[in-house]
Order: sequence, then C-alpha cells, then structure tokens
Amino acid sequence: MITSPDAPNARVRTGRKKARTTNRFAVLLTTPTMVWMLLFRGLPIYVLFAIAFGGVDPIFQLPFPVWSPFDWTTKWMAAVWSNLLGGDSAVFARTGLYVAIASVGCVLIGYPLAYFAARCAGRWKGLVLMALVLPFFISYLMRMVAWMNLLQTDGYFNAILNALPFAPHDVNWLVGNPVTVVIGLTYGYVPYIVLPLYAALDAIPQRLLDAAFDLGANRASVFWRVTLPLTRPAVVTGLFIVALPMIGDYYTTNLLSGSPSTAMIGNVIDNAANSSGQGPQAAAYTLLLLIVLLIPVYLYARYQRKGFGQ
Amino acid sequence: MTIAQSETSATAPSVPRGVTDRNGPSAWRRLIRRPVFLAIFAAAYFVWSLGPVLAAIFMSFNEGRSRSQFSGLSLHWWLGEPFGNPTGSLFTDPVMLQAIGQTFILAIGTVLIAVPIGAAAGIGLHRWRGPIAEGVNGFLLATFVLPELVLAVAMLSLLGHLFTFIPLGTGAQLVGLISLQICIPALLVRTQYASLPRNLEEAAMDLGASSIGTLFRVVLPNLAPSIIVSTALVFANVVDNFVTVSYLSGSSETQPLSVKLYSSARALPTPELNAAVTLLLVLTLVVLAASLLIAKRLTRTGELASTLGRL
Repeated sequence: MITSPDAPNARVRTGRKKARTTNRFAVLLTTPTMVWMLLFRGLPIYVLFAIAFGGVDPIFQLPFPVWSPFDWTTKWMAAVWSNLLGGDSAVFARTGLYVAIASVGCVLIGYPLAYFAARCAGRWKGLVLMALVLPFFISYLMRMVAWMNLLQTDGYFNAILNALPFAPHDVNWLVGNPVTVVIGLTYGYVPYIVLPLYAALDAIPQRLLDAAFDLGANRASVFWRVTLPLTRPAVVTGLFIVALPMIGDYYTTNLLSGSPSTAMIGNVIDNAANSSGQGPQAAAYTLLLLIVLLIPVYLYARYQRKGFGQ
Repeated sequence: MTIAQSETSATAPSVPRGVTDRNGPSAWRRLIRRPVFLAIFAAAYFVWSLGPVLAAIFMSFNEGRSRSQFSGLSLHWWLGEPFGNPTGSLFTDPVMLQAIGQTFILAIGTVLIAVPIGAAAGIGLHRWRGPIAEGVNGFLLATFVLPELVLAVAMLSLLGHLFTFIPLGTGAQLVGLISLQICIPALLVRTQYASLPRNLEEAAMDLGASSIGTLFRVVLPNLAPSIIVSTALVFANVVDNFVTVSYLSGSSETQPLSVKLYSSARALPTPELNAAVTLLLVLTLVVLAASLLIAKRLTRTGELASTLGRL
C-alpha cells in the first residue's frame, strides 16, 4: 500500500541506464576495429574508384587518382568491359568453370570427412579431428610445393602411373594442364570447408536422430530428411568460404601451371597490377570483381548468422 | 557427443553389438552399416592431404639437387658447408636468414596488434546491436571471404596515393596484415561469447562488479580458448601469407620467407626450397602446440575444431 507509484518506473529507469552504459562500453571496445576498418578497408575502396575512373600520367606512366566523382572518366571501365566481352571472356568463363568444379569437389570430399569425424570416428575422434585441423595450419604454399615435387615429369606420381599398364605415361602435369589446376584448387581449399561442416554436424543433438530411428526411419532417410536439411546452411556457408577466395586465386595456377592457357581472373589483375601504366586497368578489374562479389558476400553474411543462430 | 553415443549411431540401431546370427543382416549389409567406406575414404583423404607434405619434408634431406628423385640422406640443404656443398643452404644463406627474420617480425607484430583489438571488437559486437554494429560485422565477414588479391590491390592503391606517409615495406606490410587478420579474433571471440551462459555476467554485476571488473574477471577468462586459438591462427596465417605481403613489400630486403618461396618455386628447384617450407611448417606447428598446451585445460580438440568451423 505504501509503495510509491514511482517504484516500478524507477527500476525501469535504472535498468535502462545500465543497458545504456553497457552499450557505451561495447561501443568503446569496438571503436579501434571500427576506425581501423574505415581507414584501411573502406577508404581503399574509394581510392580504387578514384584510380579506376582517373587518369594516367603521360610521361611517367603512373596512374593519378581523381578524387572528385564529378571529374571521373569512364574510359578505363569501358576498356575493361570491352575486354571482358572480347579477349578476356575466355578467362572469365574458365574462372567460373574451375571455381564451380573445385567448389563442388570440396563439398563432395569435405562432407563425408566431416560426417565421419562427427559421427563414426569413435575412439579415434581426437586423432581424426587433429588430422582435419592440421592442414588449416600447414601453409597453402607448402602444400602446393609438395605437389609440385610429386608431379614433376620424373617425379613419383608419374613413376606410379608408368608402372600401371593402362594409365597415361610420362604426363607433363605442371605446364598448362587444366586437370592439375582444378585438382590443385580442390586440394588447397578442402580444409576450409571441413570444419564448418563438422561444426554443423556436431551440433545436431543425438536424440533427434534417435527419435527419427524410433519413428521407423532407416539410415538413408534419416540422412536425407534430418541430417542433410539441418546442415544445409553450413553447406551453403562452406561453399561461399571456398568459392569466394578461389575466384581471386592467381597463385595456384601460377605454381601448378604457369601458362596463359589456364589463367584465371586473378592472373589478369595480378599481371596488370605488376606492369607499369596499367594501374587504372588493375583498379577497374579489381573494382568490377569486388562489385560482382558483393551479392555473394551479403548472402554469406546472412547465411552465416542463420546457420549458427544468435 | 560422447564416444558411447557415436558408437551406437555408427552400428545398426536394431541389431545389438556382437550379435551375428544367420537371420541377421547379410555380411554385405553389415559392411554398409558399419562406417567402413567412410573410414577408408577418410584414410585415403589423409594420405592425399598429408602424404605429399611428408614427402616434401623428407626431400629437404636429399643429397642430390633434385626435388623429385631421392638419392641419399644429407643435411647440406639445411646447414651448408660442413656437410658438403652447395650453392644455397637455408641457414648459411644471408638472404634466407634475413627473410626468416622478416617473417618473425611480421608475425609477432601482427599478433600483438590484431589480437587485442580484434578480441575487444568481438566482445563489443556481441553486446552492441544496431545498424553500425551490423556494418562493422559485415566488413569483418567480407574481409574473411573476399579474395586476398582484391584487398591487396586496394591497400596498395591507398598507400600509394593517399597515405603516402606509410612507405612500402615492413610498416605497410604490418598495416595490411593487421587489416586482414583482425577479423579472425573478432569473429571467433564473438561466436564463443554468444555461446556463454548469459547469467554469468548478470551474476557478477548483481554482486557489485563494475563493467571493467566483469570484463577482466568473468568474461575474459571464459573467452580464453577463442583468444588463444585466434592467436595461433593469426600467427600461422601471417607466416603463410604471401599475397598481401608481396604486394606491400618495398624492396627485396622486406620480403619474408613465404614471398621468397613463392617467387623461387618455379624458378629454382633445389631442396633448399623444401627446407624453407619445412621451417615454415615447424614454426607454425610449434606455435600451435604451445597454444594448445596453454589451452589444454580449457578446450578439447572437438571444441577447437568446432570453434574454427564457426568462423
């Protein structure tokens, strides 16, 4: 009876105040990263625009950026665009093809592995997981160099093939061979997809599977109707995790093939960025790639949150 | 999932273990029900993924010049003169020694800056909701999946035309690497924070702890696993990095071991290259093992794998 009418309000008010100070503290903690990201992630993209729509110094062949959008020239963008429709269209199609095959290959190899580690490894689980985590820490370069050793024309891989009666003999794997590049891409990126798939499979509660079995489902239908639907977000996220970086890959083809016949978009950008006078083209290509990738990146961010719900 | 549970799911649910009567499933069906195929597949994958690496390590002890034909054990690609020959060996080549030093400088510098800043952001982003926080989060996720080449060309343009006070070389490389790696502690810490029970902090606050007190005495100790894992991962990533680092290296003196490797991989095929990649591997594994030892009480391997998978 004597409780003041203010009391509940007062509690709400202090509650809000507490929430606000927590929030302010959170903002404070995030600020260094936020500033860093603006300076070194946001700003560089504007500089890319300024160069891609800017000019080239006629004497020194150096690109000079044009900061005001009103003075921008679309000359370089148009040149890059016509290149894409003309001479470079094969490179574009090839990149898409390689990335598609290698990404699907990564899922087809990664899913059974993750499944094995999460469900069937039994007492070997620790060891299996260790072997899955290890390639994460082994340099990409190291793994590529390792294959380069084996794939030399006089290397052990050809030695094995030569010993088999119906296999191709003395194959030249390391010069302009698209099969090597696609397998190399798959090999290089599989470790990045296994762990997201493992995390998703490991998060499925055992009682869900038991319930499905109790209701009369066999192993195949439990997989198709319970396990796979529950891990679909992780499969999609995993596809993004391997496919997006792969689109800008130039080193795998450089190391495993080194031939223009297997060049990808990344090689076009890398070559332009390393030759003088082609700064605007490199910037225009990079910008174009960035814009094309924005939609998949957005989808990835959405799926990522959905998959591991907040 | 415990081991006992995973074994029941691995064998047939209706047939008790060890029961093999004639009316039971045929041998073929039992083979299918046991994960034999999966086990063979996994074993084949491990041979495929780790075999070549082991072979490459072995080749660094080759006596001959070849990286594909083994002709006898020798340490001369590692240690040089007293063991024989030759032109280049890892630990006597001044160029290589300088590159190793540069690798260390970059890795330690990046860890020291990126991990604290990123981990703080991970904690902040867990609590802070709103469009700006979403934006920061989006930038972090985009950094994680965008091709490194895109980010490297953009960074080169920035340092070349706007931030000209940062000359290409160690400083520029550090800035580029930190921008690239900051997302790892931030995303890992944020994910682990989301899985912590919420009432932990509320209890601390109710007992009178301040925001900062709660952060240091309750939140941080609970987030230690993800911070340690991200430290190891950032270190490993920097040791391996060659895209950003080669774009932002000013001269050949600031090229770390990975860049030397990449540029000589197709040009100079001696086992010295294998010795160098082996050294990179050993460096990374030592850091990984150390961080696992520190985190041993805090994590199981399963947790580690799950944590990495949630990136």
